[in-house]
Amino acid sequence: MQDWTTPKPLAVPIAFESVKRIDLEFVDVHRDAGSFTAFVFLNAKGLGPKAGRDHDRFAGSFSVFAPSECWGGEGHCDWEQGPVSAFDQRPPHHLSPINISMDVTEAALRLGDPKRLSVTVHATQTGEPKLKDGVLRFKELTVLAYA
Amino acid sequence: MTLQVAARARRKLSTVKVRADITQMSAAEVGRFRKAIAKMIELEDNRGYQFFAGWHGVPLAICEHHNPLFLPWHRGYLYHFELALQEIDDQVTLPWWNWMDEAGVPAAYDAKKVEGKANILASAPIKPLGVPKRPGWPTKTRRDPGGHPPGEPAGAPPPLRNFYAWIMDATSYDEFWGRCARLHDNIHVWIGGNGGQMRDPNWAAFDPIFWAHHAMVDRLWRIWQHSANGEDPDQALLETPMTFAKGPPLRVRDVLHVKQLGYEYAAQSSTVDGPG
Repeated sequence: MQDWTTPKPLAVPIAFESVKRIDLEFVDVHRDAGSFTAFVFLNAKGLGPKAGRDHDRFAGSFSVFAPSECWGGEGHCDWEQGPVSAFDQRPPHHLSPINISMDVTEAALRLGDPKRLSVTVHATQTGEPKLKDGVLRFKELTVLAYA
Repeated sequence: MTLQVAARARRKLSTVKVRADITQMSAAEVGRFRKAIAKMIELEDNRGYQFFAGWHGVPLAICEHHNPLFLPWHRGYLYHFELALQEIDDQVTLPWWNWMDEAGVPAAYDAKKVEGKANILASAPIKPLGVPKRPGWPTKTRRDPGGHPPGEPAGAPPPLRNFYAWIMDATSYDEFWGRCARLHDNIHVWIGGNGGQMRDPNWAAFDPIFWAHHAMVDRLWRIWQHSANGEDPDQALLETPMTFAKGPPLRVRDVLHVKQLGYEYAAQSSTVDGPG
């Protein structure tokens, strides 16, 4: 299992009293190395590896359906290949990284008055060849708060 | 081995067929559907089960996920598959798996045996059409609902009713397909569990429950399309042709209205002609 925590806590950008909703946005989550499920926890220092949905710091989960291997011809799963011409209007390759947004309002409010959120993600890939550095790969994580 | 068979001209549909919740179907209806799937699996050409399963995964993998084509491509895919199924039995439609309201795997797909014989809806052979078998490829489908190493994250189990309002509250097509994809992914990963085929796009469509899962996704889209929030995709997407391995060709625009594809999810009572 992959265990990842924000290197530093993320500031909640507006005052607690005004918060109506808080989202986490995982940007450019890769989906070219097999399916996986991720559990997300907030401010869960000392979290054990077997913490589940019933943990009081559990904020939500997401699963990603993705192929582990490419059986197509050369370039078939090459999601980095862009449009082939100026007239190529096709949507992006379906294995392109995706953004995953998660409403964590309830979990954040349970913390009382969180000014900073430390986010821990447990991700599990089962049944496929394992990636050395873990299956969860993304560009950045952002906290979005709405008044 | 025959790989190409000329398609017969399609008969004019006199009625719109209703796709039903698998748990609401009679034993006779489920039996008839099971028999049609078994016959489709016996066909080793471009009318057969392996041919269609191979569009989504091995060997063709022309499916679309996590982009705006996700919903229309899969609607077209089910349409092609259902046409082939109806060439075997024209009274059969694709059932849907109501993972919004029902826990676990529907009995019709879960029972290991039916009348003393292996249940083809529980496990089907994997024999990708037209390509030599490679080492490591699975030979039959299996599932492991909720399976995962003890204590490690697993997909959320059905029923997912808590997400119904969330998905239907989407106020744009892009928001809707994105939310649909989230629930769709979760079910694939949950039922595939530890190494089951449903968790891998390369092999998922070889599992007969794949079609019931996607009929449910398609049904949610149909319901949302008719809700106050429902809207069509943007113009550029409407004109986008989709890639399938058999005719008829379909653009996104061609799959917006399910009745034009010969099916509906709502039960039909009767229809009268208007004033003209």
